Amino acid sequence: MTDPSFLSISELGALLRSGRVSATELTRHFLERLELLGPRYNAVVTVLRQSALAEAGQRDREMHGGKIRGPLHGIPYGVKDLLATQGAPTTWGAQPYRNQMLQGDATVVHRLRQAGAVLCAKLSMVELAGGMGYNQAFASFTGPGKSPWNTARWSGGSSSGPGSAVGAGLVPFAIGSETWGSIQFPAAFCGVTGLRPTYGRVSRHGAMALSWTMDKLGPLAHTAHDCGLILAAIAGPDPQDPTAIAARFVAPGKGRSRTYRLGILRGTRDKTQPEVLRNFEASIEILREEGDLIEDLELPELPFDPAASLIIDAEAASAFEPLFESGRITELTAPEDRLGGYPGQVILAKDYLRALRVRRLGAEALDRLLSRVDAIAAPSLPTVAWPLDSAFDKVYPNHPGGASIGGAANLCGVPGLFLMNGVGEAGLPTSLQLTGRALSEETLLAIGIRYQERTGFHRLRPPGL
Amino acid sequence: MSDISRRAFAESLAAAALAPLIGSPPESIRLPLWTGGAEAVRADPGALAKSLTEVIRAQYGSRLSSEDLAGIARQIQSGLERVDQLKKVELTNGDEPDFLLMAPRRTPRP
Repeated sequence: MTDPSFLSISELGALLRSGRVSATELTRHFLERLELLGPRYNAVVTVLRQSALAEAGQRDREMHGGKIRGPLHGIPYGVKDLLATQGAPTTWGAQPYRNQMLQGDATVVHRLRQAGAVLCAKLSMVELAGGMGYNQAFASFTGPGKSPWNTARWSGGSSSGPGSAVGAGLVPFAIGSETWGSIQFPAAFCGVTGLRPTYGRVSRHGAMALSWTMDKLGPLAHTAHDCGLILAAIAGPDPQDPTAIAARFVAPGKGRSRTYRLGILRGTRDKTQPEVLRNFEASIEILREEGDLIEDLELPELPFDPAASLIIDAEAASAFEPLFESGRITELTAPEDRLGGYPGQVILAKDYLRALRVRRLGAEALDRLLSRVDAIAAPSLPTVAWPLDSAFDKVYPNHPGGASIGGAANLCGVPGLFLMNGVGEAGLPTSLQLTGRALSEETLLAIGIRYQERTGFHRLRPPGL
Repeated sequence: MSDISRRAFAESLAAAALAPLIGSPPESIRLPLWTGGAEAVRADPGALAKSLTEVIRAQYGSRLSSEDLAGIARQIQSGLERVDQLKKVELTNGDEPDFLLMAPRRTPRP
């Protein structure tokens, strides 16, 4: 059998449909990698060997009978351990919930099952998705997430397991979540492709709530094309999540379909590592050949980031109130997480509401800016993956980065795509970020597909894997 | 304990770069006064921060040391400085919060 560890969903699907490999064989392969290599990266909470093999067997029987559910049929995957799955613990990465058994499957898990994908593992994450303000990599009972590119570097978080598991070829794809940066960081630090969908594009039913108005679920995979296939399976309205919207999404195909207008924020290149800047400029040169480029765009001058912080803190304080009331907040792994949620307990209602009101103005202003382009391009992060043993407030002090759209994008719920765009300091991946207006995932993915067709960085493997 | 977290780092990415910019206000959006964000003022806890810390002490004080409470007070002060930045955006009575309520009508009539 061809080594399937780093093949894309399309490539794996072709192998399956040709009969050269079965879903059961594929599933066994990835289960073994999860069990063997997962601990190296602290990537896995629970391997679902028994249920995965049962599901894979069913997918094989269906295929033998001529039934193929779609492009994800028989494809193994993992989910961040904040998604409810019937019969397995859902730990939220946090010691107080280590034995939590939730009833039923999250809508995303249900939809992927319906699409024929095979759930192989619950993947590690920063405790409570980072909502208590962690300041170090060691902020989960599973230990610090490690990058497959160098295990002395952080995988990024809070979707640490989805990032490192895909990056190390332990699963072909995974589902992560982002409230502010939690797909962006692991995609960048693990050298994989990550998609943060528009808020409401994907049902949050069955997902741990950190911030009801800012949480988004999305895929991490090897390619932008894969992310489109996954999003097509999980997107759509859900009676169990009134914020899930009915908006058409069709996974874009390969090849150039049209030219694109890209924008760059003034100051986005400032204070980035030289290698990050070099790779960003090279990416821009390629994208410039695909369309127009507008430099020196300016983010509307509004307090996006303070509003985002305040909303997350207030909503997390309510979502995790039982943890404070019970005193079990003291069981969290990172010392700063045991205290970081208290300030949210005393945010004044009028201040929270002001943040929500400012957000409405900000979303309109941001949309006005984004309507001028198909995407705003930027380095995903100003540096490569951070050393595991550094406190976040001490790491790379000379490279805090320049103008960033991340806070505004998350506050206002617009989508982002993160793509490996080269290798930087210490042989670690660097990453390109594309941000578009609400419901523009098809466009972002089409640009990403085109970029990956022309570059091939998504084909690079971590050393030794 | 440090007041800086990964989220604060992400926040600093934008804040550091926003300072020198003067954005072009979109036509229909009021962008009156906000100029904050460049230099996070990490002032000592003021009277309001101290009072709110006392609320924490009243509810959870049995498990928090004075050092813990001092750190919490600093974080509350940081949060209040964020609120000060939000207050620089002019809001009118008609600027509604961005939340979703769908009045349910799902229960069958008996």
